[in-house]
This record gives sequence, C-alpha cells and structure tokens, in this order.
Amino acid sequence: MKRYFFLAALLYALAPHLPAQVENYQPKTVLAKPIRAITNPPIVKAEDASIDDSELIIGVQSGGQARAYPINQLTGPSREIINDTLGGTAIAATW
Amino acid sequence: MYVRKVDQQTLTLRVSGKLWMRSLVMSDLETNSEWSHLLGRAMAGKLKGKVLEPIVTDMMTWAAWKKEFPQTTVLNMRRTSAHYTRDFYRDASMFVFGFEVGGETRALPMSAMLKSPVHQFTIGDETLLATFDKKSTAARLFDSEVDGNVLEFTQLDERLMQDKQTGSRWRIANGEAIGGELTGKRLTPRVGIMSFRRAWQNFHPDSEDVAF
Repeated sequence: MKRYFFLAALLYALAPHLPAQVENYQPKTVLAKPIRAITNPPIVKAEDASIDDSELIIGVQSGGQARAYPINQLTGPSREIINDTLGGTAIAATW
Repeated sequence: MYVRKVDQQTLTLRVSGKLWMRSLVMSDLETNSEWSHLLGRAMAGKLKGKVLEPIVTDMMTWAAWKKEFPQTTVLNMRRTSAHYTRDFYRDASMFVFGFEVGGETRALPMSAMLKSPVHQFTIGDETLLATFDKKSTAARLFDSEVDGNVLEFTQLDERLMQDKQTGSRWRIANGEAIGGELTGKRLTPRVGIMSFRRAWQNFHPDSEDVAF
C-alpha cells in the first residue's frame, strides 16, 4: 500500500504543470457543424507564386524542405488550419 | 504550427465550430476529439490529455524568406485578407512573442522588441536570446549556448550582432555566425509564437512579460 502511495506521489510530482484553466474546459458552440478540413492544399514553387515581397509569411522547415504560408491566406474561419505534409512530416499549418 | 500525429496516428484537423476562451477549438476527423488551438492539447474526446508537438516557425516577409530559402515552396490559395502586415506595424503593442521554458510561460512584448531588437535574458538556469529583424519582421528565440559556452550578445547594427566571448559577428535575422572564430555556427532555435497579446493572456494567465 505504502509503495502505491509513493508511486502516486511520484507521478503527481512528475506531471507537467498545467494552467488551472485546463481543468475548466467549457467551449461555446458558434457554428452548427465543423468546417470541412483543408487537405492536399495547393503548393507552388516560389517563382510561380504571386505574393508581394512585403507580405508576412509563416515559414517552416522540415526534413530538409522549406515552405511558406502567407498570413494573408490564413485568415478567416475557413482557413485557420491547413493539413499539409512537408519533408515527410504531417503538419497542421495553423496560426 | 504542429506535427499532426499522436501515438503513430496521423490526424486531420479542422475548425470544430466551437470557441473556448474566445479562441479556436480544432477537432480531428479520426476521433472527433477537441483540441485547443493555442495549447495544442486535446481537451475532450478519446485523445483527451494528448499534446501535439509544436514546430519551430518563423514569421517574416516573403522577400526575406525567399532569400534565405531559395528552394522554398509556398501555399497558393486565394487571399482572405490583405491587411495583416499593415496591422502589425500600425500597432505592434497588440502582439507578443510567447514561449515556454522550464514549464513556465513568458511573453516578449513586440513594442519593446522593436526598440531593442537583440535582447538576452535568463529564466531559471537558461539564458535565451530574442531577436527581431525589422526589415523582415522576423522575431526569433534562440539558446545562447554554443558548444557548451553561454555567449553574451550585443547589437552591432541593423543587421548584425556580436558575441563578447569570441567577437564573432552573427546575423540578427537567423542566428548564423558570418564573421570571426565561430563563422558557420548557428544558434539553436526555440519554439516561440507570435500571438495577439489578448489571446496569449487568456490562455496563459500566469505568463509574465520578459523585462527589458
């Protein structure tokens, strides 16, 4: 019994510290159903893109490859998450 | 930005239609678990308690990114906004660069980063370096340690900083040494998120601003 108590205490001590509000998950529903997921997004080479030099992008590197997600394409509820794959890793481009 | 894989299962994430603390809740097609966008944590459903691994990202101008990675590919969808860059510069105090270190959350106020683009600070036993490149709008967070030595950095000019220990010169924009003894070395990047201050505070009420 004592041993289990020790184990429980150890697990508690090792548990990552969570912000208090994690225990208080009360989401509000604002849309009747989920928005269709974006998968296989259109990706082009830099020279084939029509993006202004001054536009802000979110850049990612993975598996030796680099990809940019222009923020001006990621705004609005329908664009908040892009399911993509880069350098062999499945990533969610979201901002 | 996250790796969308948990315990060998690849997830397809979408906008759930729910908000929590005024911020996006994602749900995955595979299990319909609900994920906090900002925490990367499943809050409900089969995967409750699982955490998505965040990826290092850089926010900067398209010109600067192309220059650094000429082989880059880019998302090519219709624009949903054209205002983001303008908004950022109109009121940088709306933004923080948030991160986690040793289980604690901290925020770098972007208004302070604009004035002081090379900023070194210590949290616990870690000495971190935050940089902001005005030209490309890239904010970055790095470890200050190189080959086991903590280096102290000061800004030289718009583009370069220098470490006190070896006098090497480093690019502010990407933490690469381009002159001196350490030429070719790169500082190790850390995950940081450019966030609206309000959203960051909602999700990390214990977060403190890094002192400038």
